[in-house]
Amino acid sequence: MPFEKLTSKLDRHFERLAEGKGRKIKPADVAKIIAKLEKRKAALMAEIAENADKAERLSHKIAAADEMLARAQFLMEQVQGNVSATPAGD
Amino acid sequence: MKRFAPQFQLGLILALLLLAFWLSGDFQQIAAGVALFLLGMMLLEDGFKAMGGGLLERLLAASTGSLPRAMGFGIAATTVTQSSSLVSVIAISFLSAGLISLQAGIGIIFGANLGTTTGAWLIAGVGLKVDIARYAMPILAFGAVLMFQRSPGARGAGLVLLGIGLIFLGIAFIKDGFDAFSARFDLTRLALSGVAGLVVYTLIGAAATVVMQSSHATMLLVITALATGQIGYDNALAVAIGANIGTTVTALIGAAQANFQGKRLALGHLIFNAVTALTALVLIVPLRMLVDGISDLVGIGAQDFALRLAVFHTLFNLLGLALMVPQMSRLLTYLERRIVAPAPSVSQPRHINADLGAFPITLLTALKNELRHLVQNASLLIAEAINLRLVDLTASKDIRLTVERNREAIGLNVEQRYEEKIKSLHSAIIEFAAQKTALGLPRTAALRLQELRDCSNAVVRAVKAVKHLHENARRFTEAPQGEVTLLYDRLRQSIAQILVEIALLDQSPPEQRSALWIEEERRAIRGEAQKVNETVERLLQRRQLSAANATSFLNDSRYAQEAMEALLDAAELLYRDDDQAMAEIERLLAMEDEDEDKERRAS
Repeated sequence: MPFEKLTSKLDRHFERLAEGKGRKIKPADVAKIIAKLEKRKAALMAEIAENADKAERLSHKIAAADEMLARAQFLMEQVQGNVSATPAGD
Repeated sequence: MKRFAPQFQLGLILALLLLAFWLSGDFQQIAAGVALFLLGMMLLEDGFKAMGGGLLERLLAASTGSLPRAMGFGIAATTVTQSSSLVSVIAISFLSAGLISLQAGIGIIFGANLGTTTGAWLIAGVGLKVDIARYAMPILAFGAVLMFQRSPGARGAGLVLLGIGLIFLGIAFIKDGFDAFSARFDLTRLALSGVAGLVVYTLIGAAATVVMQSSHATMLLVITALATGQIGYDNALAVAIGANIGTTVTALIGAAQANFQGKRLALGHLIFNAVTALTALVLIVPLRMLVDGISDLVGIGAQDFALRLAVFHTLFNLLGLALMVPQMSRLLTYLERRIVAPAPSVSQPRHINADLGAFPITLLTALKNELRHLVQNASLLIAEAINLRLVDLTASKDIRLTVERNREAIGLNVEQRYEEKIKSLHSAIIEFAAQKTALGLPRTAALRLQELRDCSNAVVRAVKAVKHLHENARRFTEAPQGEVTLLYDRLRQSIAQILVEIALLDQSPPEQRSALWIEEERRAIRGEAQKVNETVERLLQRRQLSAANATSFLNDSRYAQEAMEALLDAAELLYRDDDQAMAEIERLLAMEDEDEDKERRAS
């Protein structure tokens, strides 16, 4: 199962929300993070193009940024699913 | 002798009360009314704190950009909460946390002074003219039901209602007490005219406010006494002026233990009220004429002295603003010169202090700033422990070259530096966090407080790990010794890179950074560690590295890894987004080892 830990953390988040604890995450919040991550990745790509000597270190960072983006996209799907599953008026 | 002064004072007050109760049963009713009123004020304050959920703090943070806005906040917040002391405490807390300027703090206090005059209007205009005891009963009943609810909002609303109910009841008690009192005694026989009357009754007003710790209570007593004919109008005006002076004594006593910002604010408050009171005393005759003119103009009856007193109270506070606002820059200069800011200490806390109160925004801001201070101290120590200087690293365009060029040993006593610049600060942070956790903060604030405490622990872990490798880092890099020096240089380079990345993160604007960047650094250092281990293996096989040196290096490599991971843990916790939803997303997206391994295997 992809993002197993993220899924279980997300389940706990939804449980806390059901208990009236914590702040609900909206798709717009996740979109903000995705935009930040994309901007960051573009900056790292530009940096790697200019600094060949740092290529290895930067490639690790770009890989991490890619994974984070994938996790954020997955989170977006879950949050959007949760929003559409929430009854009107809730 | 000084030690017994408070007990003596309390004993004297209790004895005087007993004597007064023995002399007059009606006085018992008046005193009970004052007690209910003060209790109501306390509940009102507690209720607004609980109900607001940080609303007042958020409003304050958004409304203090300019002097008029700060004053506007002071007026509005005091009018709504009827508690200038609550507004003053919030202002001191924000000022102490560095969230507002001294000018904004003074502006809030000026505004609160004007806002507090609405109390006199409520008492004179409504309290004495309507049978408010009838309204008190249902309000108290609703308040009691709500007070026992679990939700902080409902509980806060319950406390506010109970506070209002008790205030109404208190006013009714005082009014009835004075009515009955008037039938037997005539206190106007004690009236003093002329300058003597002004001075004596101003002192009485100030003393009553100091004893009751509330100018509202003094105003309530004098307005009620005035309405029942127990005090002359001129003497009542002097009591109102005295109440303004008395309220600053309370603030000054509170500021005795405050930090320099709290002391500046209290002194500013004293100057404002003293100038206002002196001017009002000097101009009492024209002011009285002006009050009469305004009262006639707005239709206040010639015999309605209670409302005319409310007009006077507002007018002379407005006069104070008209006098002091144009002098604001002079006042600020004087306060800053009179109460000098202490020189910032490297080893002592700069941001956390006792004046922050129990407001989540100020507590967390001060704690974050203190942690930035701790991280700065730790970064300086860690850099020097590996023979590097942080200032060279942050200015460097090529970390590898900077590391290679810096071989000269820096005379650093790591243990002593740790004791002086890290441990003392860390202890203060842990103690502060523990004390504030005990205050029963909202869940999200308590969670953040715990994260920041963990951040401090992580910084200490990083420093302790670096302490272990300090000696070898110096020994193997002071002069080139072949492959082992190159390996240690790679370690120093990795640590230096993390220090630089944390410094960059600290300098970038909060809206542009994310704690998620830390995950990238984590990935990079883990990749580098794997590569270094492969290099050691290869060098051992080729006999280019002795087994003794390889063992030393591998041990130190583990310490370095531990230090870097701890630094990244600290940074991740410290630079987490202030917005609750964004912070929650960062927590969710933070990679954990299990996920990372699985995803690496999958790719």
